[in-house]
Amino acid sequence: MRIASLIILLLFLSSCQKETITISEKASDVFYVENAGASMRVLVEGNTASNTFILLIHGGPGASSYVYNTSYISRNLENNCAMVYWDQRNAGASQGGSNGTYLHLDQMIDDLKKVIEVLKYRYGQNMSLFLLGHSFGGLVAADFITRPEGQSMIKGLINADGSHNYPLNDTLTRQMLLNTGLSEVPKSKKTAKWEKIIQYCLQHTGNFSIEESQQLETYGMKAETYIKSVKKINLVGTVLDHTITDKSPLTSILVNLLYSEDSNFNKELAVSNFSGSLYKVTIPVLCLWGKYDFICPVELGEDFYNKISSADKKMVISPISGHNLILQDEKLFCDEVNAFVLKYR
Amino acid sequence: MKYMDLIVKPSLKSFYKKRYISGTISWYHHPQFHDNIYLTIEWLLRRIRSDGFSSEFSIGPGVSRTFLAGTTYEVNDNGTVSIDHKAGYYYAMITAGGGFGYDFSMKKKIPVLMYTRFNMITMFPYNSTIYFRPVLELGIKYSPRKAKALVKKT
Repeated sequence: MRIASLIILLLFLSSCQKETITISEKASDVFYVENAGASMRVLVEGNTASNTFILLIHGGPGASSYVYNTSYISRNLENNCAMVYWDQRNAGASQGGSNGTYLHLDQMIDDLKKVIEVLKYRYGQNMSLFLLGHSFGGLVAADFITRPEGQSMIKGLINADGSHNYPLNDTLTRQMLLNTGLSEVPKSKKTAKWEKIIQYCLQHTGNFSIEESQQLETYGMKAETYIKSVKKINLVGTVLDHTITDKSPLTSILVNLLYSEDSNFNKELAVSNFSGSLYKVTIPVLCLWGKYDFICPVELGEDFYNKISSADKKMVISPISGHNLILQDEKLFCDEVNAFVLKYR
Repeated sequence: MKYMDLIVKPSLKSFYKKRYISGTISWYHHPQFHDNIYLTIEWLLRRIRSDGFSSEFSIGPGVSRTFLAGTTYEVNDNGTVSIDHKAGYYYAMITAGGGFGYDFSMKKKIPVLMYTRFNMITMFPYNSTIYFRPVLELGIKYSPRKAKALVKKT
């Protein structure tokens, strides 16, 4: 009896793999893309009938796409186009076995390419596709669009607080922490905290090790919370708030984040630098930056903006944002992105 | 399989202490994530007080097979897209948990034990690390042997 029940259940589960593709103004399709030991979750949400898609490359490595899927973005962006929330390998709801050896940048570019191919297979080869890279996702996007086939697969790039050059990033983070710290100490209530940061920056001046790089990032995260005009957000709270509606696998999100944060992949990232090949970029680009982004300072965005060859490019700086402009200044983000995709789709 | 059954009397309270090795097939469904069928072999310790209330602890290894909750695509080097109809993974498991319940056979002649158990299941290698998941189990255990014994007594 038990065995019979088990066979029925297995047959039922196999039938769950039925393909559903929704073309509507309010689509919500979940599917997986399998590649090199990982099955990566992809959620396509919003107006698929518009034939315009924005593929989010989330931060991390190891963070997930769940945090970006806010109700504001659903109401103000997904009505005009479809958002594609892709959980990279070893992140969010992506699953696999013993696949740690595949966690490197070249593999992620291959993953991205395959996710795009699956999107085109599902929703049509003539779709208008844009990439949206945030933080570490900016590095993946920079790598992708400086490769020969990358730009031909997309209509444009939105770079939101992305990092295309980690060594330069560390130098600029230290410089911003030091300069802001020195100007904030006389007027801020967080004097002791700023002094600690200043001390660290004075003791660590360059050629940063991975530990120093991670410490600067930690201070960068804290520093933006010391600035009054920066909108405060709670990333963990955002994920928890949507646990039921998004059906988030919380423990998967957590273990993937912890694994990726500590993986050797970070050693490869610490020396990654695409400044030298950005001249190859000719597609339309929108750069969105938080004025108080200590993790990827505005100067990093300017380096990106100045080095690309695109004739159609724009840079917008949010005065109330730190490193998470997408969530801290949602109105600016949605307005700018809507205008950009409408123009270039 | 029960392999020990003894009565202990610390001070004035008496209780039964039973140890089992049990095999269990379980399944859970997490929408948009996966379905998981897992087989576990558990060592279970259950203490049943004379008033019928029981507490238990279990631990054991197992094996799991997940089924991804969505169409799963593969793309080959030529860019050809295909669907993997059996997408999912096998994982090794360890489960551990504890709970409480009530044995109706202690006071009334009903050979039924109702219990609730909080289990922590761990699966590995999940993305080269360990996945854990809390699971709440509600159960009713009917013992035909105990039923026969109760009938004989009456």
